[in-house]
Amino acid sequence: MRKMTILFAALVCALVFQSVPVLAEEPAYPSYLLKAQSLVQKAASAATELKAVNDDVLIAQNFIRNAEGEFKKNLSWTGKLEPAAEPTVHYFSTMAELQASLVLARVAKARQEKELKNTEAKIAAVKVKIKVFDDKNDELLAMKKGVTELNAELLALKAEKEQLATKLATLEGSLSSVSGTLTQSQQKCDLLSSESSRCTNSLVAAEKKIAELSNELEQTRLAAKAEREKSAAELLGLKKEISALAAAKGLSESQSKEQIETLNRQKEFVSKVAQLGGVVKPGSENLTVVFPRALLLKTPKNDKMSVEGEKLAVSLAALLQAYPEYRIKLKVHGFGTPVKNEDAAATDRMARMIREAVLGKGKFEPARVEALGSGAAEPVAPRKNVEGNRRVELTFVKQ
Amino acid sequence: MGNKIAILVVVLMSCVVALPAFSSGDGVNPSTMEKYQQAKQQIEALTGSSIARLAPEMVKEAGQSMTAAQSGLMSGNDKETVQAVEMALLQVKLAGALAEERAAAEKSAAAVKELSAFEQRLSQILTNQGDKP
Repeated sequence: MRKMTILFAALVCALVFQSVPVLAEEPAYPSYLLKAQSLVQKAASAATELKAVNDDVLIAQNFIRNAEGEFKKNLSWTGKLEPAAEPTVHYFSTMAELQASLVLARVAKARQEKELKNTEAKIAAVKVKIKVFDDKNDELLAMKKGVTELNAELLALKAEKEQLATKLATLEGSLSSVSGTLTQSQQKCDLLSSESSRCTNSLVAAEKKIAELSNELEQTRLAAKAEREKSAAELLGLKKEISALAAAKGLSESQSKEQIETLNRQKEFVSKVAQLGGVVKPGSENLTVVFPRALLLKTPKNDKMSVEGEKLAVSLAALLQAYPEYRIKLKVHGFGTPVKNEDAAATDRMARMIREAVLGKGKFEPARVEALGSGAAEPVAPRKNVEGNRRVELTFVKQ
Repeated sequence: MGNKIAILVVVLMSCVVALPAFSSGDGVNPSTMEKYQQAKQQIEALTGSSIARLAPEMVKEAGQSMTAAQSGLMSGNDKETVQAVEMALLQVKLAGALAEERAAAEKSAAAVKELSAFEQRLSQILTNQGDKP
């Protein structure tokens, strides 16, 4: 009975202790709070990778502490949370969970970025390796291209070789024919060589002969030179004498020459005057030509030049231009009746008319032609010969 | 007498029950209102953004928190409003972080894919099966 009592008492005590919460132990948190606690712990451990989120972890832990505090503070004596405190505890738990999620998201982002960096580094490394192969491929391509080109060149060279072989065969044929020709030429060459040696001997003999002749020629040349020098000296003396004689001779010759030229000119002048057609009467200092007046002037008025008169005027003008050392004294003579047509005034008028005609035909000093009418004062023929006295006298006088 | 006591007890109990409601319905602080507006603007700004594309579930949760905050605002419960607004702000922050994490994950996956392709090509080259000029 006593044992039964003790067992009952122990059972009662056990029940009492089980129902009353023990202060030293953690209370039985709701599932959402436990979930939040777990997440915050996870965030705290993850934060070791990223220092930048430490503040966020502290905030999350603070929220959890608030949730736990609210929960503990609002526990009833039965160990259950007061319903009024439920929203606050739930709020802090949710906030803690959100804050922890924020931390985890940031850490995850950092991890992704790190992984991305590593991956990019790997990509770069692989690219470098691939590039090596790509470069090699490019080189290979270039080499293949080169090989193709070389093959083409080789083919071209082969074709060229074949052409050359053909040409060679042709040339060999030509060569054989040329060889025959060459043999003949060789024989000819031998003949020519022997001929050449013979000619060479002759040449040597000729050269010897030339040398002898050259010596003789040199001696002759020296003798001639000495002779020439001697002659030159003599010649120089003679030349001096000749020049002295020539100087003496030249003086007299020039004088004679001038005289001869003067005489020749006079002779020529006389012949020219004779060609005028009148009657020439040479004087000691002058030369006179006489023309019938009716030949030079138109009768009966005698106031115009006849055709012959004009011709004579032209000839006289040419004569005066060719011989500037002469001048003319023109005199017109009259005779018979009517007296007024034959007097000095009438003949003077005729003389001036002829003078004007001469002056009009050439360019020279007017003073070189003098005109004078002498009327009937100087007859040269009997009285019956009227036309013989009617005349024109041209006297050429040296100036 | 018994009825009076019963009425008195009922009235007393009603007062006790209604007291917290009255005390919480004193109205919302201007600073809470300001926070609410900020959170609302932030959530509205997320529409069509990369964050909304990459972390839509968190943006949705933030919207729900804002609905709760609006409810608190309507009932004049400052505490409920503050808690809902703070939760919404934290959810927006978390949405941004999740979006960044997922964008980084996408980039990383693309890089891994690229690396895999290059490694495959290199492997083919090394086993004499690659590009042959």
